[in-house]
Amino acid sequence: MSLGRILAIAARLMKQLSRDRRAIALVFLAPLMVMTLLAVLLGLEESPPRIAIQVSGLVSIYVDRFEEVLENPEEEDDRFEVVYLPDGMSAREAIAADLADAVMVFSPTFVEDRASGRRSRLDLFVEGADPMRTAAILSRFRKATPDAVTGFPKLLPADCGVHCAETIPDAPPEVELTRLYGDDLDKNMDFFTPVLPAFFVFFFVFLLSGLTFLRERVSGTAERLLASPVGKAELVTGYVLGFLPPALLQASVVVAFARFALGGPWGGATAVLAMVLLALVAECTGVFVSAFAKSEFQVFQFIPIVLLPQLLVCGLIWPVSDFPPWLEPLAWAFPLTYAMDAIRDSAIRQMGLADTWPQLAAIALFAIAATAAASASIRRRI
Amino acid sequence: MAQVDRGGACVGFAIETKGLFKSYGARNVLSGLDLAIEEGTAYGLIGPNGAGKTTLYRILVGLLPVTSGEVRVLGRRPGGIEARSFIGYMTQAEALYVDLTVEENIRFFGRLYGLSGQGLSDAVAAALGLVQLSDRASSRVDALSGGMRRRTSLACAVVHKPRLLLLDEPTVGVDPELRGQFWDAFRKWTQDGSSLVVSTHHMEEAGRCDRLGLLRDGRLIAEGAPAALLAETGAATMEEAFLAFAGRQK
Repeated sequence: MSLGRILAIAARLMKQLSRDRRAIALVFLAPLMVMTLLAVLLGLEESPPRIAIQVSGLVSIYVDRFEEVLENPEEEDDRFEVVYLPDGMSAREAIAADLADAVMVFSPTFVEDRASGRRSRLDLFVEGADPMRTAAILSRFRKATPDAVTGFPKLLPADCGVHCAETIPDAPPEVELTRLYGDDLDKNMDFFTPVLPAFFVFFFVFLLSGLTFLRERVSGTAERLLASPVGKAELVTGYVLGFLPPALLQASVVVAFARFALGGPWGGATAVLAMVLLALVAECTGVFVSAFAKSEFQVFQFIPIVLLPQLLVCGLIWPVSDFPPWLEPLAWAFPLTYAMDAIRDSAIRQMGLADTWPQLAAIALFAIAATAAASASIRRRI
Repeated sequence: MAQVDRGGACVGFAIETKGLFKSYGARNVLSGLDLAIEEGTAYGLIGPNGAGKTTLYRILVGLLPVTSGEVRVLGRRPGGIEARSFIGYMTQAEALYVDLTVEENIRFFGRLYGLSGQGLSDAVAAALGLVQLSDRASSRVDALSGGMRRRTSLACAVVHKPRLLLLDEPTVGVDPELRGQFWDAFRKWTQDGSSLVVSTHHMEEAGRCDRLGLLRDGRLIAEGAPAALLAETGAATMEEAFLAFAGRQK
């Protein structure tokens, strides 16, 4: 072993790296950017769920008590924000219109059940698309409801004798959960299985097209192609058609696995369209960034810039609606956010193309912009 | 003498440039280049590295815009779809898809120029024959020697029978025997009226051209038939002649 030779290799590497300004910037900036985003996302303080109480008939005497324990539980983390619905609005309508995260409805026999010692029942309506969010709301609600009824004056029947009240059990009401959507979602993974294929399509098409077009530029075939009658639009479209079948095949395998092996829901036509459009965006973005790379290594450098922030803020893991006001617009500046939203609307909320077209149209706009950027970049660094 | 072709374009010269400048910042790569290459000519562009040969080619195929001056390729502005469809371009790099076979590469470029069906198959077979690679048609390019790759690259450039063949240093890294075969192929090309522009800094190859342009620092320092250039300088070889013209420039 020669120390001199070893030092020569080390010095050469450091010299090369010191001349790669982008690598240096990325080495320092990318971790800081990702850690900042993660710190924000992991530190998101979930705002208290909004709950409405449907008041009807005799149970109105319970309402104040429930409002009090829901808004001021023993532990601050279990707090609900009580909201009020317009008269005549049903629980389903209120949740569908996003006026409340949950609506509590007394069962029609609530008072009689309490009075007669039968176990009373409360119906809790939730949106239900996100199993984790549903579980959190239900857990809070179950903690609050015993406090709401324990020690509360009982409605005694007219013929109740001495010590009658003591004979009536004080059991907490049974909570019956009704989900507007996702009744068949029985595990947390069901929230992710319909959207993960879209992310994989985006990720792999971006990498494949970026690396393939970089190879065209580096090997000289791009120069030869552009000297032929091939137009830029033909080239980009050819790339799209070339990568679309493998992307869709990959998506099909992932979807089939998610659907049949993991038993998750499936987003139907919306998911197919979203993935086709995402593949187009990813393909053009790959071609575009290849204009700024001289090697495969430099294409990979774009992952922390193009893919990682999208993965963190697209709503795949953390709900965009919980983001702080400065972060939410950033999330909606990425095509993946619209794809996640549309596919979940379809797979979990049972919406059709008539409802999801605005998100799909947004991805299409990204695709048009990415196509223009890719076409404009093709002649760069030939 | 200029003529008018079926498309209404003015022809007669394969390439015509007037006062052509190409600059990158303050650096002029082409400095007022005047060039007129008649159709059907085998024209050699001779010059050292950095003389501007590749830049000129890239302008001719429409990959680079000019800074100023005029350019016509087969009577047309470069870069238009019609002009590009008449040109065959062999770049300095091999510019091949190494994970495809020789035939697949040639067939692909043939399709880009609008060939299809039996016409494409015939053209591919003819190109393979021209570069003597018919027996290696189904070999993957990454399994070929450097010389065979250069021949495949040439076949890709000629598959559509272009009217103008632009070859950018096609014989770099090629052994003398293969260089001879290349030049045989080039000469065959011009026999049926097509034009050929070859850049090289192998001076011994220059004598095989009909006319030569000696390019230095982005301008022509001499032009003419090889024999005339030798006679003008009294040199015994093209290398001596080039140095003599370069010396006059200084």
